[in-house]
Amino acid sequence: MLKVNHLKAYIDSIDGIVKAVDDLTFSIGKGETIGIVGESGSGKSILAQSLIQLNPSPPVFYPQGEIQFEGRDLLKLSEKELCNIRGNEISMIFQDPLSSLNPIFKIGRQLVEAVRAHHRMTRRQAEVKALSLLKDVGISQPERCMKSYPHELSGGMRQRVMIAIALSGHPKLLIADEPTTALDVTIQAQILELLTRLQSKYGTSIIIITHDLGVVARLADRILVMYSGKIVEEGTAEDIFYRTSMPYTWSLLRAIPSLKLTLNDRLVSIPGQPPDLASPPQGCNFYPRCPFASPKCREAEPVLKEIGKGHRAACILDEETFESRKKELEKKESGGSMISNGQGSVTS
Amino acid sequence: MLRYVVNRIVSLLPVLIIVSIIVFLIIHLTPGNPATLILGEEASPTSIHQLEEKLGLNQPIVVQYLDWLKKMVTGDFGQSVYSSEPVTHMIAANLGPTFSLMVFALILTLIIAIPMAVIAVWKRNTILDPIFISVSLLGVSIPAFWLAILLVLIFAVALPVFPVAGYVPLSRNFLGGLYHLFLPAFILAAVETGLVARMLRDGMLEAVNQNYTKTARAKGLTESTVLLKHVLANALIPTTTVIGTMVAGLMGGTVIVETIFTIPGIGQLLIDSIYRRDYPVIQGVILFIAVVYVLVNLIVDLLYTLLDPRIRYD
Amino acid sequence: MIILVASVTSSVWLPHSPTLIEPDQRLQGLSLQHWFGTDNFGRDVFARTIAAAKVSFFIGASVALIATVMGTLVGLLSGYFKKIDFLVMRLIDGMMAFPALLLALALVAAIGGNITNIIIALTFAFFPQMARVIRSAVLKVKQIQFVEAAKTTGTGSGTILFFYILPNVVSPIIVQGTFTFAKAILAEAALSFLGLGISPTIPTWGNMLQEAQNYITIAPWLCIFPGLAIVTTVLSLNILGDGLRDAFDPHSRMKRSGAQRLSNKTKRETINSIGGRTV
Repeated sequence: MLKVNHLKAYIDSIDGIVKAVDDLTFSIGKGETIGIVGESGSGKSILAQSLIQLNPSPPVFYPQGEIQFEGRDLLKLSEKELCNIRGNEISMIFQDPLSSLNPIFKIGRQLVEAVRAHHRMTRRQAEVKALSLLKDVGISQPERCMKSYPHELSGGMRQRVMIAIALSGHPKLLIADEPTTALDVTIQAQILELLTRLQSKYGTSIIIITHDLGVVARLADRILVMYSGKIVEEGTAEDIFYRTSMPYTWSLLRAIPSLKLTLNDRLVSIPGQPPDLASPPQGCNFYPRCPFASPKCREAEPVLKEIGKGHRAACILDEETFESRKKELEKKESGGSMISNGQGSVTS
Repeated sequence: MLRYVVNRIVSLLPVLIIVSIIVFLIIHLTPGNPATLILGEEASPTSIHQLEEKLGLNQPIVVQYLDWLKKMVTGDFGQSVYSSEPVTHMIAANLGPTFSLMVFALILTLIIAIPMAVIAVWKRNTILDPIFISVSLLGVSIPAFWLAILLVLIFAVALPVFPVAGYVPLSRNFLGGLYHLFLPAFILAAVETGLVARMLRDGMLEAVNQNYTKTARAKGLTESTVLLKHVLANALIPTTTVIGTMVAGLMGGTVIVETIFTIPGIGQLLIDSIYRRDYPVIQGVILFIAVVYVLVNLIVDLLYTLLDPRIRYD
Repeated sequence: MIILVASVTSSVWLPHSPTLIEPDQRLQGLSLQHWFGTDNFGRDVFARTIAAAKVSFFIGASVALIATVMGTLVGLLSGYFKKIDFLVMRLIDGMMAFPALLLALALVAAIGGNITNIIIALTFAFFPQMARVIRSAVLKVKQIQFVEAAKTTGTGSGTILFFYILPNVVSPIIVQGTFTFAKAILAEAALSFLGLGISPTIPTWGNMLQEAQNYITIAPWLCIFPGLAIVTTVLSLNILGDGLRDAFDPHSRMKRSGAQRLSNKTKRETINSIGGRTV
């Protein structure tokens, strides 16, 4: 349904051209959920906003690529045609529901506006529709909610309202950019559940963007791991979690706290910072932080290659070498040389 | 909310007292005997003495102040030494023209500033934005009186479309009055517009980068709806606070514009009284203007809390 | 800048004396001999415009300097010491209850108009704004940790104020000082124009315009050049102030979308600092 081909989204900044999204290719089918995972600064939000061109432009520009959606290239559409797509065929919800709702308008007004953006109906009809949407996203007192200002609602309620707004046009694709990051853990689960329920009800495809592998593990049919503007690994949740084939993904997984951790286990943070995208390192972008880096990694950028059915990874190591290196490292760490890593912390 | 209003009003008291002290001191800052200053050097000692009695100048200064304050609070602003008319009457008689002029100028300012800011933000990535910045800076850099002279030059000499002097009360002839007020009001507006438009543009540019604007775009609203509804509404709220500053500017400006266009307003009265050394009138007018200004700021503050739903003082 | 240099060096190279009266050369138009023409006494307008610049700059600079020093002191003390803050701020509020130009007008009306008095009047009209801006800047800096740290280690209040806080509020001081310079020049011109400023015998831009008003139809050049001088001077100062503010403000360093973030607290101060305006 949506096919992104060789998309590039660059930012023209003081420090030079930042390659926020660099030659990305992926697709999503009807009713499918894909997760895009990466650290902050990996370009995932720019990517999400590129899809319906919400990035401020300038400074963001698209030197190459196409975004095929039902036979049309979204990058080539006029502003007017884009407005017909946004909210209607493709919707989006954002990380922070408080700042994403207009603080000075009541919820009702903002929701009615969304409903009427794509359907010719009277204010009265739109209000009825708005109420049913609010009920749909599990708000118990929709009438009261309509009369409230955003700051009067709880975080979870606000995100429900955002989802209601996003669903108002019955979109075919919903892009959720860090939908649960700003919420409490218990609320997070509720919101994710709501998304799954609505997906099965409306058959919407979902692109969920997060830094939290736990979120996508539950929801996503396929996961794309992004690092410095590129996809470094792609596969099903099993591929990613159990057949990890890229050192970056492996490092990410090791940074997740889990209930199975014992006292002897340590969380391992990924050393260093994501690369400066204005002047990325030579060769593999992850090379400076990679525990398995070899001089060869510096020579050329690894290409994304098929290593299993629907499982792709961008690393020059083959499966066997990777596995043996992993074991070697794990052995070394548990062997007592704790000084090098110290007390690890979670990296988001 | 009510408590906030009451608090706000109570907090005005010290301000008003300081205002009254400053106004009161104006006459006492004058080097030499105020009575001599008013009557001139060649006045007879008896007439000077009489005036001193009349103004209470022979009392200790604190007593003078308290007497004066008591009168002011009861609405007795004293009498003009020039025409013996009560100062309150003189202010009332001159209020109409100034009020109409300021309201007209305020409306003109908003009519010019809002579209200017919207266009500047709408075309923010084009050459229009730096042009807008330059124009608004130019606006705050042009002295009102020079602009007035230039416009008089244009309209009196080259293009006699608008009258360059005179005043017709709006109550007698509304359109004719507006017609006479247009140039002076336009001058005041031109000087204020730069500030207001700049403030509005900065507010809108801030709002444009907010997440709720992104949501509005994601809903599929057109750029014009996003700008005019979401962005402008959010930027207008903080801009209301400029109105206070604007009124101050307008008050200063009216003094000048009224003298140039011979409009019989408060500003004209003030300048004439300064020339005549008519201190009771000067004090009265200055006090009146300060009190009005304080009240305008109070109203603006209260308006602000009403407009922004996030602010609630309970 | 050019006007400043020109006015300071003027006595050396000016072809005509600004006060020389040439009755046979009255109200002449623009010519090679008199670049900006002559006025009703036959005085050279160009020479007078340049000479007036000296007066305006002197007044503007004095007011800016004194108001900045006073405002900074008051702002520092009031922002730092809670005890005096209430009293001082009520006083400042009281002074700010007058539109600045009117306060200056009233003061000049009381004490009379000569250069010193004008400087005093304008200083009083403008320093309260300055004090407010500095005070709010001080309040912000005060909350930063290093000040707290200095306090806990027993550093004296004076040291904290002048060595810890002052260096951190220098940028608003400079920006506001530049705008005050511009405002003072505008206000001085307005006072002179109203005939309440400096004695008409001294050439100032306001005085020149005041006289020129009477010859508006027969000698329009008399009105144009002094006004242009004011606008260029004030505009350059405002551009300078605007540029300085942007340079000091880390938020406006984004390349294209230079929107500045204003918090509600700083709003009023921001309003005051958009351009130097009074008239």
